[in-house]
Amino acid sequence: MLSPPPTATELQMTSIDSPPTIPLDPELAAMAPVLLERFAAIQNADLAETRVLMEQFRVERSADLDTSGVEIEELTAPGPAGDPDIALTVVRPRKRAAGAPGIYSIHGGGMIIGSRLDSVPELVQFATEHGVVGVSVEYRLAPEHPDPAPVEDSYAGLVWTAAHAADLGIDPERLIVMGASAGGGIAAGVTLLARDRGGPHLAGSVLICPMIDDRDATLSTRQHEQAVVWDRTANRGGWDALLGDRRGGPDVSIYAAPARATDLSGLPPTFLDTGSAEVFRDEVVEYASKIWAAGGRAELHVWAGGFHGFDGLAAPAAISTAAREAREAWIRRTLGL
Amino acid sequence: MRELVGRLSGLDPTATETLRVIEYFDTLVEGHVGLEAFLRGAAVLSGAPAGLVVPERRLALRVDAGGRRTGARTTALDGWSSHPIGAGGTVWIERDGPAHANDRMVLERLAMGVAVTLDRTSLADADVGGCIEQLIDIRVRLDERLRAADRLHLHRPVRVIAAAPDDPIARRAKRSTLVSTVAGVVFAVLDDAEQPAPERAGIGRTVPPTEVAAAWTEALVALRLTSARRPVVAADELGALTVLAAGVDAGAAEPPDVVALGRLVAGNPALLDTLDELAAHESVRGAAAALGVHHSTLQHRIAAVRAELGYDPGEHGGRQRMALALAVHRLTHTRFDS
Repeated sequence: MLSPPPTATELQMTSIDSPPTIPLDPELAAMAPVLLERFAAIQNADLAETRVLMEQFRVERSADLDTSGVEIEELTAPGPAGDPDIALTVVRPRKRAAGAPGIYSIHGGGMIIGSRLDSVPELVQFATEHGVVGVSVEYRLAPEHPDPAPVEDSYAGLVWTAAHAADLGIDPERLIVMGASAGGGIAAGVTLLARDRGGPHLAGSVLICPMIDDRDATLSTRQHEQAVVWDRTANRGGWDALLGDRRGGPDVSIYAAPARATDLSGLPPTFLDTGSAEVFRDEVVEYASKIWAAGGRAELHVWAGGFHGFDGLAAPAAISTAAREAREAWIRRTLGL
Repeated sequence: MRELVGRLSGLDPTATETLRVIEYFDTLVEGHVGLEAFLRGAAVLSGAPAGLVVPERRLALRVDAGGRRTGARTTALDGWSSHPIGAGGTVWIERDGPAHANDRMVLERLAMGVAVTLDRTSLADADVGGCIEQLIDIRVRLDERLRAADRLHLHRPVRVIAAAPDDPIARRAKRSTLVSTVAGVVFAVLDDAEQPAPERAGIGRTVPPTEVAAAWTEALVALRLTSARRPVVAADELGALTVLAAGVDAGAAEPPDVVALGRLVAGNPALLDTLDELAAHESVRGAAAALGVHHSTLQHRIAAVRAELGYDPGEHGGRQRMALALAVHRLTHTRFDS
């Protein structure tokens, strides 16, 4: 997950076939070692231990979260046909207005870790500052629950949320999906499912450094054999967990790996961002290009020298602030906030 | 991943993580970041707001514990850890209560980074004037001129301008200084070609640092050829006049044409405008129109100076002689002593 930055020797040993690497933004470069040290325990942890550590970090991080402006409710929705129910956490502004805009949030974690509660701080902020109703979905994780469990669970939660929009206080015309990393990939998959199954109307799709391509074939993935966060090996591991032997082969759906979709017409307005120094860069850029090719609406930001998830991990850096502001501005424009 | 691991929030307050601190600030110095990023580093590493003031630069900057820029303070409060930086400035960490183990090191490295950055980003501390004087002086050895260019952070082609000493644009230019020349005290300006040009100036070529001195020589010649009628002269329009200028500057005796012209205009400075227009136009009529007088009036003025000059400036050959005499006159007599 988190890997140590390459040493000088390692860099020299990189074969001449390796493409050149990309320098990090200077502030991110300064913060990276502090980050790595802070989360050093994860580096040698197995999956079970990592999940425990991540939950500790989440609790730690939530300790001083100001929830005075919101009501948080736990709900249950039916899962996909024949599958267990799914948990949804709803974050509503305390000052409720009928027909508020809604954000359906899908957490990240490489398809293998994380929980719906990870999104709560962000949803609390949107509820408090903008009166948005947030819903975060607990999808089943790989490898215990491989594809299509994560995307189908997330879609089932979206269908339920849209069907109960009035009860939840959400204006069904102003509901967007949002996710980062694996959650961004699932958000893209859910958006495609909504299109292809004639599902809920979406006002927008926010894909934050999304994980959308299992094929491990882009230049940006080869440029990141080593990375501060989520290097090529970690990425293969995440997709292996989700797809098993199917990774990179012919039998992978566009809902699991949306980069495989060739037709990106008929999508809601889409926001995409990524760092120039991460595995996902090229798949994200290509995804945006395909939306434009189909005459669609997409806004793409590639942040120079940004590693995977920089805007959350190294939040104080100037580039991180700029990335969050650009995204928030798009959401405000799209939801009419 | 992104939201899972949460935020970056400070070092262990009890442990001394000296190497971590040094590495952090070294990376910022290498990355040529601005002052705010250094302050943010101090705030992030210490978990407390950090600030700086540099009175000499009229700089005051502050970031909160989360690294966000916030309202500046003019001084540190008693009890906060602070560290002096050059130029009478101070940096501080706003920790109420006892300092943490790393605060001193964070402040030391912050002060170092701020000092380096001030030095790099502003030319105020460098002797800009001295460096420009070195760089434009063809008599100074090339390696010394290039060292001066380094200190001025000049690594790309730059436009070389000579401007009148009372020129407001030249005074405001980032790299300009008054220098003493054969034409008196004038501004030497090194700027980008996109910048607005000074109002009374010889505009030199845009050249790399190695050629600045040569371009300055031409720019100064161009400035000396300016007039009220033609306040801006470009060096690349000078043509063979540079050779003429070299002769004048080498102390060549004034030829009779120039002596005669000098005698005429000494008694009647306004005559210079008349002769300028005459030299600049194909016909007496054209010159008269430019001067706003009837052409017969101009014919009378020409007749009045013809004897003194010894040729007819209203005729083609005479106009050329006069144009050259005017140029040499200007090269010899234009002075910008203020």
